[in-house]
Amino acid sequence: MDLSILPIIPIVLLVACVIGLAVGLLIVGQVLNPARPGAVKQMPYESGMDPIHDARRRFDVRFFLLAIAFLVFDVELLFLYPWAVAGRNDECRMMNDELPAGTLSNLAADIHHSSFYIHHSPVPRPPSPVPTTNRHMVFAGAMTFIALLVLGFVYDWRKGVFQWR
Amino acid sequence: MTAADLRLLVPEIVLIAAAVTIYLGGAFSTARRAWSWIAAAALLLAAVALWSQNPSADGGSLGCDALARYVQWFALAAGALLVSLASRPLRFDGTPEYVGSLLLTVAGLMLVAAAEDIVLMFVALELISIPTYVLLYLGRDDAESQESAAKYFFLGVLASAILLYGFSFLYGATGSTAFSEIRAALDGTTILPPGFAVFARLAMVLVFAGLCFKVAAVPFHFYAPDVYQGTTHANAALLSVVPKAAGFVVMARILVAAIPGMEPYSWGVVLAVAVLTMTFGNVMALWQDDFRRLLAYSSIAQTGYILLALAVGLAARDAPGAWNGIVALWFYLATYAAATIGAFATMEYLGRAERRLDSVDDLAGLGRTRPAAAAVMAVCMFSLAGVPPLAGFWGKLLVFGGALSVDTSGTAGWWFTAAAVVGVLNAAVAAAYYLRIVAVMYFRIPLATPPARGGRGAWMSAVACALLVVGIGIYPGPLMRAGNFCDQQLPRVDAGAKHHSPPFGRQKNPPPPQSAPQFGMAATKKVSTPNAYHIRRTLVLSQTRVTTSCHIIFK
Repeated sequence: MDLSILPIIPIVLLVACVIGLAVGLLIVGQVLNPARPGAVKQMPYESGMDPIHDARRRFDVRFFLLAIAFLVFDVELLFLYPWAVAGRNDECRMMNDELPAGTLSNLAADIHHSSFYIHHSPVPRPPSPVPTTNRHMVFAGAMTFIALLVLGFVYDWRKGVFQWR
Repeated sequence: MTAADLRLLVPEIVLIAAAVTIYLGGAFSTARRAWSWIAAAALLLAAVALWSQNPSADGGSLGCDALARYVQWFALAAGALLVSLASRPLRFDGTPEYVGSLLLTVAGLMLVAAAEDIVLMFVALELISIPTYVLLYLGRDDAESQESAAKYFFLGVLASAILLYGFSFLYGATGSTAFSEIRAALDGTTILPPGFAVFARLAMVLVFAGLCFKVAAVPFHFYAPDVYQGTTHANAALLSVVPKAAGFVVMARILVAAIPGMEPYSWGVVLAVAVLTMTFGNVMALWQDDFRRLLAYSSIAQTGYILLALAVGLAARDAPGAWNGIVALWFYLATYAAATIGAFATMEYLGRAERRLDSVDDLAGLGRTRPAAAAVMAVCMFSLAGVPPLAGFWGKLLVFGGALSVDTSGTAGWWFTAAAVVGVLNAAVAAAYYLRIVAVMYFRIPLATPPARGGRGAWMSAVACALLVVGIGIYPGPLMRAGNFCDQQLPRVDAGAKHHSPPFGRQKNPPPPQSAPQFGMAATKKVSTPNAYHIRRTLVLSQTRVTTSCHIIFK
């Protein structure tokens, strides 16, 4: 087997999953839903808003709270991707420990070194003899983050953000 | 994030945990008075954690030098005064949110003080800004307040963008986000590719511009009068202390420490802004009748003096015999904060929930109707004006003495002498409106007795501020020494054999002091504070120089 296509496999898998999910959801919807069409349900965005109207129409402020709540979880998801990648990446964790000057700058310096900048006194990267066990810290960090978001969720719930009043 | 970082973060974590608890508790409970007590307990706990920290611990993107320590203690003290000042529950929903946001801004200021990395610093600055927007919305529920909050929000976002743009140039020029590495890349030992030095200069200007908003310096000051006027006394006190302190920390960290070799450009920029700021603020303050608007212009003017200290620090930090501008900066900031919080706390105390005291005329005859409150207010005003036995006098002495001690053999010295002359004239102008308040309190016939139902917390805060102002005025040594430590541990322009300054950079040298200074305790290192001889010499020197400059100006 030709090994040169190996790096592409994850991408192919991703594309396949995306297509599969989209098509699958459409099919499931078609098969399972009760067929009770109505004028409102036929609209492109089934959220109670008329999609074709004057641009300066007033907009229900209740959507704003929904948008904020959505944003919280959207951003959460966004943060979890780099965490998931970095948490399983030995190099990143070692860098974190071996270099004294902070994760962010190391990551940044890495990108910088590798791209266009010729540094005349590069920071010496000491070889790491022991793979570090920073895994718990990385995990705990993300869990704290999620816990804080859950607390935010509880706050939203108590304050009645999810009630359509 | 390492375990060492985490240990350094314990005080901030305590504050943030308390803030989250208060937010959540507020969603479950209808208590109104308990939140301030929880916040006070959290501040106390954070202080204990800060006190018991081992300062020699080496955290990656977190610093724990004397400057960080100074500003962290400053933040806790200011936080305690503000929590006490705002301890009266709001008239509508939102008291827990208010108290929680207050704690978050304190945590943000502490984090700014410790940040050794651009990204962390920006996040910390946002940790101050975002709760501040919330606080401005929560303080009052009228149209004026909404307007001021919206103004502050939009301008704040713009300033953050400018600041971030400057950071991006700094990163582009040096290839790192850590201050130690930025400094190493710019200190002349590394040959930068052609054109990259311009990036650093651009970064300097943009970062300074972005921070000018935070400290309310001309020409980024426009929001201050409207926002102060449109909000509560507690919010105005917060705005005039916490974002300013954060802005000056970042200025010290970046302009003074992180970009060496830029001083010939930066002191000129800072000096010009300083002179404009103090003049504009003082002149505009003369016209004001609204108390908060007046103090907004006063805070702009005070920013000008502090920026003058920063300019001295940039131009002549290591010149022999010169007074140190960085010491003056930290000393002045503390005295200014105490007097300003005291003034706002007194106003808060004198009003009541349904009726705030807004105008200077509301203070008429206070010396007869509420003598104690009038005395506290007078102490704060005298200190802001720089009247001798009080703290503000020493701040002004350090700032102007520093400006006059810049070596006049170069052009810089004459500029600074001129700036000091402008500054002294400004101080005289400022006395006009500070003393006007005192005159209104003592020489006018009382119109009505102020209700003085602002709560015990506000009164305690006001009295504490007045005591601080008087105490620092009588015994300024410890605070000056603390400022001196801050200066010594900031990296120098030329950290060579010339000076015995501690080396910079974590990779190359171990962190210098194993026993970092605990303020108020016996100092392990001999530090030089301006002594009587220095002061006399500079006063004589300044007299002659002021006279010559006045001659030059009036010819």
